[in-house]
Amino acid sequence: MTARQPRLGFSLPLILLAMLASPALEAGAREQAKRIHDRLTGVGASNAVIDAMAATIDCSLPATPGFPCDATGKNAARYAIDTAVNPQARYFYNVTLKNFATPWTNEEQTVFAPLNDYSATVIGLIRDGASRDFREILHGNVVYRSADSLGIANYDNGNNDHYEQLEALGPLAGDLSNDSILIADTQTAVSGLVAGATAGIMTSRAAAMAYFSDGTNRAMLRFTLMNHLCTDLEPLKDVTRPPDRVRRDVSRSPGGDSRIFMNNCVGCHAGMDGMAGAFARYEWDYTNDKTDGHLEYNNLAHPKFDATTGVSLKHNINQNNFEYGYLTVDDSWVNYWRNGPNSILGNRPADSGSGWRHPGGADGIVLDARGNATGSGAKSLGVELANSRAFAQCQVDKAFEAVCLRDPNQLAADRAARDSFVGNFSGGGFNMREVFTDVAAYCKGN
Amino acid sequence: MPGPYRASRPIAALVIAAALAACDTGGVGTSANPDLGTGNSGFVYSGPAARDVDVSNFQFYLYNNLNPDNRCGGCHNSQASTPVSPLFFDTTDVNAAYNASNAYVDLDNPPASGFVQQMNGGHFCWEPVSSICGTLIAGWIEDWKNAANGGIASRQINLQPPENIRPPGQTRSFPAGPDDNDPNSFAQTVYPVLSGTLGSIVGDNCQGCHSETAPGLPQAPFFASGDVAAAYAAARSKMNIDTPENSRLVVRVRDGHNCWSNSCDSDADLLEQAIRDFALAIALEDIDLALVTSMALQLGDGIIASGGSRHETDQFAIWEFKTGSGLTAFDTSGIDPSIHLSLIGSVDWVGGYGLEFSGGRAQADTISSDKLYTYIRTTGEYALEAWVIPSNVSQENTNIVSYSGGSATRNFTLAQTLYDYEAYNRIDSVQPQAVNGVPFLTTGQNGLEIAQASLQHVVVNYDPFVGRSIYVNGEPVPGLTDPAAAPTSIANAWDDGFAFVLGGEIGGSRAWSGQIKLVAMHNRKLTAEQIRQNFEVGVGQKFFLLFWVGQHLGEDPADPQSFILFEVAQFDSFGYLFNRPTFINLDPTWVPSGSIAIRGLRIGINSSEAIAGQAYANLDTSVDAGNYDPGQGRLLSPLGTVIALDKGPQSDEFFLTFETFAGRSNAFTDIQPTLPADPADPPTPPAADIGLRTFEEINSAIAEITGVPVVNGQVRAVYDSYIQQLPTVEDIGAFLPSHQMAIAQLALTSCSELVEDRGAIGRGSYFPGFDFSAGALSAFDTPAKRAQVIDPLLSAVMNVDQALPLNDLATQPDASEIGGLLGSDSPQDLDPAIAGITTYNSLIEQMLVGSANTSQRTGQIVKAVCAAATGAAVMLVQ
Repeated sequence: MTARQPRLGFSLPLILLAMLASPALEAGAREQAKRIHDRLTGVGASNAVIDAMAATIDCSLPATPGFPCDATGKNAARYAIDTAVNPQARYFYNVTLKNFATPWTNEEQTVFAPLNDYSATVIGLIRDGASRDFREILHGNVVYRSADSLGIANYDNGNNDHYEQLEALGPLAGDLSNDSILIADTQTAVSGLVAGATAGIMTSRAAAMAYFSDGTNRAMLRFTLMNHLCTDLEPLKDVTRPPDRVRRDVSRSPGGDSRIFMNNCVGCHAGMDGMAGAFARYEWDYTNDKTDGHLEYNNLAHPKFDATTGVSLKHNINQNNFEYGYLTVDDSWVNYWRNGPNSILGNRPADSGSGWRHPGGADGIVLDARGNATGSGAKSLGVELANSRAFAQCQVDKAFEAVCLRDPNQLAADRAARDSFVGNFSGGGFNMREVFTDVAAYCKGN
Repeated sequence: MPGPYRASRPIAALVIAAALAACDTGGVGTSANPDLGTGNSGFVYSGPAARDVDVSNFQFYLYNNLNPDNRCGGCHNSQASTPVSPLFFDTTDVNAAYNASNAYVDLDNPPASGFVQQMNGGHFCWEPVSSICGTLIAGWIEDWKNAANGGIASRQINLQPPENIRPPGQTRSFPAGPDDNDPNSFAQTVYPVLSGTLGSIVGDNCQGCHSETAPGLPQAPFFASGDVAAAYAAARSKMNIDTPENSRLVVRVRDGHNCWSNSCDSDADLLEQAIRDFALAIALEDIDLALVTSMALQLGDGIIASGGSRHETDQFAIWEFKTGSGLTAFDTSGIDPSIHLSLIGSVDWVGGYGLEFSGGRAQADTISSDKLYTYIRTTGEYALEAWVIPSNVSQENTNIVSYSGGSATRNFTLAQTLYDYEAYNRIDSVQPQAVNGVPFLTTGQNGLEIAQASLQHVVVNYDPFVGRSIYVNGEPVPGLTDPAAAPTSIANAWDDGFAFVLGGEIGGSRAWSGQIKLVAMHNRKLTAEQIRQNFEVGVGQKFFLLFWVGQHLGEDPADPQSFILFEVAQFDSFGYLFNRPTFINLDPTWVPSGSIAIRGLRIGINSSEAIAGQAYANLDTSVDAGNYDPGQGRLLSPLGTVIALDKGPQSDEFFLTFETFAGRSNAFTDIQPTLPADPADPPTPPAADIGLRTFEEINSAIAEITGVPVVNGQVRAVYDSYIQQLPTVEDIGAFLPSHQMAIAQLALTSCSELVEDRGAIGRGSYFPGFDFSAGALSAFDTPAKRAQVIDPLLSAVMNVDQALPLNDLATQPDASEIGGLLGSDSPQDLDPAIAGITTYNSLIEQMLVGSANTSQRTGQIVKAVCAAATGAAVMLVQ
């Protein structure tokens, strides 16, 4: 090498280039272990942890106690997110899962929102996946909060201080992997919402503020579909469904052109308004700043509710836009998408039957003569959504993207793997923690 | 009256009180006789007095209006220069005129009167368009009828069985599969165009969006799916195989929706021809005999149910836009002078009455506009009433209705800005802006978003003692305060040289985009009750359609009197409103002998069930003696729905189908979706195998590397400042220089805290053996001393195993190379394959050049080495 005069005064870009220029090499067990750890926890592993994880992948190495050798890498993944053996596992909960869930909790879909009861409940249900069915996220009477012993503000229906202070404790004092720090509770006990009105994260304070404030509560359905069935309304458009549940506030002739309604608006509203009726009795009550508001439910004495039906008044606003449309008088809902093109929502080529898997006759769901699911209130709607195949696949897809850093729908091999993980998820008690270990093992590298 | 219909005749026809204005309120109040003003004639009757009240009403409402020389009285009058019998309007004897006219008046159904039919048929009309005379006469007969009814403005509708009862006509049905009808199958005709696989136009047609595998957000319906069966299933609802040019696929492209060539018309032509090729190969068939249907009707077979109950006592001008064509919109108030409007620029007629403005205007001359000045000045107050549909709520400073002299002078204006309606009114004032009607009153005064891009009834009231108020859809906009404090006056301020104009300002500025379906001017303010009455009457023409279903209630003989009654209107240029289906038997004594089950009602148009809008598909009810009200019928659903217009209101034929009607059933076959096959893998991997850590992961990773926790005050402050400058997505292609600057700040802060011994791990423990108290020149004077700094960092950052180098990770950079770049005492070459400029001195070497020999400098160098290692790609990439 020839000596040269220095030309750069700062070496960060230089080293960045050096790192990126490194050739891709075949990954052995240690390399696979590092990637699994990186992708799940977001931080690098110590050499000791890599050694232990590698030993669960390469059976020629000395065994790691409690984690039998499994060449698929799944036990290595389990090791990576087990705080009992890996102190850095807490980052899986405090960082990876927090940022996994945070965009779902606000309309802007920002990742920069603080921890809240929605994201904390997602983290808790994943952490406790061995004993908690992840479908509870859409219908359970569940909320995760911090232990009283932490000395932070109590849960308050009127603010998010409790969770912001929990987050500010950091990953040690506020270790969300620790079930004596982040504890499971019921919404009824914590927020006072009657049990029949609880519907998982849909009735969390964060979701209510985001999707029940102002508007017409249709946002709760749309964002729940986006966040938990991985579809916006656009791909679900079906103009052939009966429009008998489309509310009066929807103009049938926007700007004087009814083609817009018949070819576009009704495609979403026919199904959406049928389902969103489940949210008729919820309202986010606030005065000036909605972050200071609170959830009201079926409050007959409240000026924002109909004193007879308990329906929040906004459900029947702008009635003169089409006075012959549907008038909301209760919180009944119907899923018209059980028929027609969306009846196979989420299905894969190997699947047969409906994509909506709840058999009806239980959990508040009744199938009508045409096979449409019907019910009353958000809880039973949450059951309907959470039992769809799209829900199960969506959870796997999201975990896949978070860990493998790519869409699982683009390559045949990824689709096949994803489908098997969906099968594991659905057939294994909907343990979301295991989904992360499945996908991390799959994407560990070759 | 308990409901809208009432029986009064026993057989064949049923008189119902539609009470259009009374559907919800239980009826409207009495009305005073309309003030017809003095402009309609100079005729003064001097013959024998009217012999009774009916003749008197005839005289007041019809005779006086049609007697002027330029109207019917110019011929059908014994005093005419050439009298023409019958002498309907003999000026010498109103009783004789009444006798002659009676057979030409139908008080039950004024539009069906002989006089009206004659005019509509082209008989001598004093207006340029004969239908205008028909409209005027129907209105005067309506007033007569209301007066005869004691002023109750409700309508008695005479329901009679339609004369032309017929079965639904022939139709084409979609083939079962995409390959049927070879060589004119869907796969061979339409699909190649949709999917961009047609030989001459291979490229990115519809499949760029309408495919499950489209890049970005796939747009349903997926009629350009890679799977032709799935594409066919999705495309069926978008093709009209009776009138291919009306196919949604064609119309959208012709309207400019993402055409693939430079000419949307040619693209639309291509699609239309493909659909025509596909459709013509499908044989016409009789409607599916398995369907349980009603008989078919056209709109013209219906009974007209519109008009008649508006409050029009002080109305002196009205534009209803009924002519539907031409370059003039007529004032049909019947009060001279008529303020006829000339259509200028981009103004189109819309179906179901109305004008659509998109840059043009409808403007009167100043002479006829003077009627506004004259009538309103006599009372000093007015009401402006309009049915409007704004195209959007993004337009600003646009005029809907105006009586003005230019953009800076006006008597009054109804305008729109965003979600607000604005009422300008010129008052007597010394303020210069008053000549422009300013200050205006806006519905947005309290932040409400009142104006919507849907049909709205808007009334501006002006009263000198109260000022202006605005009503929308029958209700006052709450909380409005006229910024011009009452009392005010328009007595002296108004200018009679202004012109009346719709859709913009005279001269064309302030152009409004939207539809106007009716405008009326009153020279008294309207009361809240009157406004509500006019709102509830609605706008446009409505029909009662009686769909015969008696064939299902008996075969020998069939029941001739049982119908499904629908209120039907042309909703706009593209759709029909079907409302309130009611089972009714026209015999008011009839009651069902058993239970008539009615389930799954669908509306058919031109031999096919409408694709969208089947709001009664879930209907599941029955009619029996317990719920059937003789003479009133049984309301099947309170809902209304909109069905797409197909061939036009003159041609479209409607019928009903049922899944079950009175024991006859036909199961409805819903769309059976086809799951598309998975696409083939792309030729290149769609995403990199590696990615970036994101913001909080970076923060945590640096904390783990340096041992300085994220809750460290310095670190937290920097992190909070730079959090939004850090990567938020893992995509390695999204890495930006700004990301690196934020990472550098974070790394430097953490390393500074580490070296200043404020981390969770003491610096002595982190860098064992390194002498922080030594001057810089001696602290780094051997490779071993430098290694005391570099080696711990490499272990923490990239798992370098100092004890067992074979354990070093193959996916990480070479440890000696990174170590050399950080601290070697000899020049380093980043890439030996590139000659020349890629050779550098290490970071420590560079920082020692001209360095002070102090321990402070030593610390600085350690911080720099730490930050270079920690903030590098080896940390960032995962």
